[in-house]
Amino acid sequence: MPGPRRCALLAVLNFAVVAALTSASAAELKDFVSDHCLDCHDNATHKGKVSLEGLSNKVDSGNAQQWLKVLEQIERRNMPPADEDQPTPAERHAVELALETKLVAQASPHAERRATMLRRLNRVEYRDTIRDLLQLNLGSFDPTREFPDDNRVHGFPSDGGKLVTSSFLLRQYLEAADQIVARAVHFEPKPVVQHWNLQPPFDRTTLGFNYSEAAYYRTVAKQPQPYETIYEATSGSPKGGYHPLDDLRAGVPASGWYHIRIRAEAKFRHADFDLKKFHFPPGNDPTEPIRLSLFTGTLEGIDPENKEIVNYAATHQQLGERQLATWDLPDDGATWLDCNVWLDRGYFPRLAYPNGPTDANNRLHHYFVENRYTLLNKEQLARYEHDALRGDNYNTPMWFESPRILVSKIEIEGPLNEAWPPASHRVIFGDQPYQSSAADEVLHGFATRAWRRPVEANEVRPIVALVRAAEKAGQKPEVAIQQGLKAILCAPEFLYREEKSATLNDYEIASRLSYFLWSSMPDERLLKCAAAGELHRPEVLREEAQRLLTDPRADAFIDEFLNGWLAMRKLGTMAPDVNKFAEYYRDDLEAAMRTETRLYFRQLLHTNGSIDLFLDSDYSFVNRKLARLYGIDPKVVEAAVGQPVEGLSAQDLVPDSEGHAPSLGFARVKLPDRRRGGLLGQASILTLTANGVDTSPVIRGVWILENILGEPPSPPPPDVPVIEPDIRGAKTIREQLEKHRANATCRSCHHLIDPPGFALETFDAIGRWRGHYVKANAAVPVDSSGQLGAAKFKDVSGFKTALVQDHDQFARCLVEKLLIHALGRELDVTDRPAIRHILETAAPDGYRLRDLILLCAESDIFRRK
Amino acid sequence: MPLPLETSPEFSGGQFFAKVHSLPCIYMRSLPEISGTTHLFPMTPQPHPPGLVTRRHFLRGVGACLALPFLESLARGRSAPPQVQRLVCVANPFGMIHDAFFPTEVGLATTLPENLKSLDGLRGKFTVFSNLDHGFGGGHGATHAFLSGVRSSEAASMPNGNITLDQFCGEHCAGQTRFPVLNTSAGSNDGGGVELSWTRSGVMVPSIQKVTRVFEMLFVDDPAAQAGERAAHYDEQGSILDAVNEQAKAMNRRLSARDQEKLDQYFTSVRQVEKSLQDEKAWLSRPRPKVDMKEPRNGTVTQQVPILFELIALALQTDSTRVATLEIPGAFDCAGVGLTEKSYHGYSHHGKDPTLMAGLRKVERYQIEHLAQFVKRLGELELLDSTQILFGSGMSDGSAHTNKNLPVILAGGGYAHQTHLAFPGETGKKVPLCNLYLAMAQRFGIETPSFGTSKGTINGLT
Repeated sequence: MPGPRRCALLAVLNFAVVAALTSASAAELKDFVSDHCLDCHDNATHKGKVSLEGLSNKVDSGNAQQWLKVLEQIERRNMPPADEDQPTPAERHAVELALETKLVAQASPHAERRATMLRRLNRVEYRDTIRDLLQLNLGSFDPTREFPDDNRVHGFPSDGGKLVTSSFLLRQYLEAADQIVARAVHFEPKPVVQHWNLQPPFDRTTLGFNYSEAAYYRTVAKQPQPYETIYEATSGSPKGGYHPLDDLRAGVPASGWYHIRIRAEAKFRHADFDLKKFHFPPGNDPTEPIRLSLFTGTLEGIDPENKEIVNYAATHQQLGERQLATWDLPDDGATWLDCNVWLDRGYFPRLAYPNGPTDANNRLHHYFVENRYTLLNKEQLARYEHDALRGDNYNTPMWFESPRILVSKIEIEGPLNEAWPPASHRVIFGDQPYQSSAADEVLHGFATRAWRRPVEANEVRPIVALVRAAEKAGQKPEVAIQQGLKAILCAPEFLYREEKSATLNDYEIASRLSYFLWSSMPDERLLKCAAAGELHRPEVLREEAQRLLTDPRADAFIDEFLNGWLAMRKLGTMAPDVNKFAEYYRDDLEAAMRTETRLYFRQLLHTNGSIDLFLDSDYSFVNRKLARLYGIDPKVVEAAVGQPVEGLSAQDLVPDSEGHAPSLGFARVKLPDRRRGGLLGQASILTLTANGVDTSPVIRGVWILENILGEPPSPPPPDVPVIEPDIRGAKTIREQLEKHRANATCRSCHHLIDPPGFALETFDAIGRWRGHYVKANAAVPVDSSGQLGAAKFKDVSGFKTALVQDHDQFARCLVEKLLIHALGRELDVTDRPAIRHILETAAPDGYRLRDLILLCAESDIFRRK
Repeated sequence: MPLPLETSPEFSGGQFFAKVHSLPCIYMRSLPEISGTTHLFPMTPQPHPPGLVTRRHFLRGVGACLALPFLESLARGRSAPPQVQRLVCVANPFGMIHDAFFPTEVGLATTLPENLKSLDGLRGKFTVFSNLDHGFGGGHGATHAFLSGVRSSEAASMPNGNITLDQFCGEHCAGQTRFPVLNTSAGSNDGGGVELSWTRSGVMVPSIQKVTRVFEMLFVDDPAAQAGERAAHYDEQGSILDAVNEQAKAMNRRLSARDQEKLDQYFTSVRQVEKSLQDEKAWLSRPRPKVDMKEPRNGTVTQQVPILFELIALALQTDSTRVATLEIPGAFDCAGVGLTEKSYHGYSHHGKDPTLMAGLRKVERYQIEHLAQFVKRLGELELLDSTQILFGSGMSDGSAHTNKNLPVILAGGGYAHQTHLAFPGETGKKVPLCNLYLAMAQRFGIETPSFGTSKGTINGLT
């Protein structure tokens, strides 16, 4: 058929189809509402103050909100209520589709309203972009340390409308640019490799035994000190017990890689303590190898004249300190430990014994002094008494055989640079020495990379002018050019992600993709795809997304997505009570919990596992200490550590940084029963949804509604007066909440919030299993039963089974979270077709995680503003 | 020889402030060097909560380009308060003995308890408040929240972080004096720190512990080279701002209307930072005021307290600053008030031992005596009516480690003081201490509907 007539015919057919659909769906909608809704929601009964009787079948701006609520209730299986007749799945699907189509049709003309607003880089994105732009090893340097926190929407700091630029922040940007350029640009000659051969005592700051030991060798034995003894763990709040290498306390003179060798010997792991004689036990675990750790430390920003603060800072935990390496030490027999670590200028290494006995409250000292007659022989006792007469009985560790590390030599060399100037400098200036005539080229090249798109030469004119003016004012070219570099980093083209029109161009899509999956700028290959005009094609987008996910930079996606979706960033903000939950601190459980969840997610991502495994599974990743929290025999972990796990590397599983400490390793273990398994059994989730002292079914219930079921409850109405329900006689939290639910206003939300919260009541505030509430002299069993929709459950296993059966809702929630993170705006009705397409494509395979992410990237809303 | 300090079961290694909240961790945030001319942190006027007229809306309405200072005051919503306002906060870490601090009756003429006797001649110039606090406990772990009402761990969830009242007021008048805020301490934190002052990004501001340094900052001009360096730094940043402003204008032309509204925040920020840089640079070249006071010498806490009060009075008089704080820390030398047995920390944890309590009363009386002298001094300098003086602690009873019913005295500020204002003590009826701070901030001239955890202002204070 000739062109125009074909078009006309198609148009007529189209119209006919749409008209048919609309009228068919109108009929369906009317029937559905009258069959399943009007019994309760007519004008006469209007249950829950909702009436659909007068609601027109034609969706318009007046009733769109209400129809959307109807759609959501049907989708979430909240309506019709479980005890009423249910529509068949086909009927449900048909009416959902019909209603959605109408709502989308009504809202589409207003699409401009919900477009992504100009987004500035958030803190993480800024930092990671600087790292990748300049190939800068950030190490201890965090240019965003003083930046104010970003505003979050639905947990994610990605919403353009909510990310604010204030004068405070701009000032920070200026200072940060100063520091960044100072660290990236190196016109000076290659720093000389220095060597430090350190002899004991390495730490001349710590008092107590360290001081005594050194004094003993110097004044009594009158011989070179053969080793420094570290006998005490890092402990306290904040942690003390770090041993600075005092020869380097001014910090290394230049940033770079340093090779550190340490000769150390672990002794007396199985010390002959009579634990009953301790008032407070020392808390070390002799079934673990003795470990030595290396941390960073700095004295920058400390008033050097204030000796007390200087010494405190050198020996205590510091904000932003990094663990450089951890080693498991073999018992007896000195060995050499070796590592290559990055140290920033002004930072120095510090030793620590992370799993040693604690001498808090001088408990070791008191134990020894009180038991010296049984623990020492005559000669040793005489020696001890002699020193005590001198006024020093702090050398007790010298005479007693407690677990300890003897460090005899430390050798450090660096900075080791393969190439000079370093990569960050060459990325800006290339390999040629810089000359003033090259300013235009350098600035244009840097701007092109920093602004993540092709840049016209005249676009950088103001910045070139800035550099020329500086040169004219007498600055050397090498100094003047740095002003230009700083300006490029403070320009809005760097700070914001520009998206000019409704359909994104390839470069804008490249940025969207890289910030989605890396929280950082696109790499060269991605930009090449954009330059070739290929990136808007879904198959190319998919391929690149796949590539980005397998790159190590995708770690940022895992961290940021977990921070936003599961609120992992909140872990540690309500610190568990130090007395009730001492093991949280003693066993470093917070770090272990976080690692468990990260490994779990990462493994699902790399093996493209089904998201059902988030809801329930028969395995998890634990280390020895976490296993103990879960009631799993640590031997099970020991047996499994080291075995390869699909989707995870050996380095992923052992958090020893540049050291070698297999005993820290995580292993995949099969869980003994279905109570744990999935996210809801993981201590990280259970801890961040508690308040450090107690659990709250309401907090946990709200978390589940928001992040698993995707139906966030409305906040309590502000104008509702505080009702004091009569809770006399209620013994458990369950009974208290039930009495609250007797009130209709409270019930409307709490009948949805409370049951999921109760399901988790069998886990305490740090995720231990709790079958009974322990109160005074009574132990009241925890009742975690409830109902989810139509499904009744007796405990958390039943709850999770119910969740898995209803996993469409979870899939929708997860996809929405992914899109909020990726698109940087609120989702609305017009996004539903795209979401539906993603869900319907992934459903047959059981909703696999990587598939969902790739489908989001390919989706047409990903390519639109 | 190393000797253990006094310990109690929870503390590690005998160091008291192993338990004190995050003190050293905060010290590690890289702080710009304390230079002679400027303050510790880049201070720019903060956009205050909703209700602001944005630059864009304003320009749309008037259709003309206006000079910056006018814009500035419009951005604050009202014309500037009629009189220069000042604020001084004084605090200790261990609270006050209740029966020696809180009067039993209300009213202008009510009898003053023993520790407040030195305020007797100042009736009508001060008010003691009962039953105000921040609604949380935590003992030593909560004292750092005295001037903010927000604990450091919760700062991230508050719109203004855990900014303290002094910093909040300092932001408001930044640029008008050489120092937005002067944070001082009479000694080291050995034995317990006050941790009084916090910025909006959750960083604790370290207080200057040496009177020589305070004197230098206020009254001794910088060596020319240093001033020159800072000036060059401001110039460079100013030039960068000019260049990026041009970039922003070009970008603006490419954007949709909605996105232009967003970029407007950038333009506004550039303008505000440019102004701050100009203000700070201007101070570089202005010579410092000359005062009659001779350069003081550093000493113990009891030696430094009167010197610091005098320095603060002179700083206010010379308009070198309008906001100052003074911490009376745990290193208080009890020998200075004739006590030899224990430290301030030791006396504060008296456990109801009458000898120790008597010692603590002496230490506390000392503090109030010097506060009274300071109030009198400001009266002499005719600054009292325009200066609000707050004295108190984030700890209520240091021996019991409670934070309920914090000891608070407000003096000066031109209020109609009533000597003692008692607020309800019953749960559900308590008035947040931040309500008082809100009233103080508003009197200072800040148009704000809330401060910290305030729920409104405070009745009885006019």
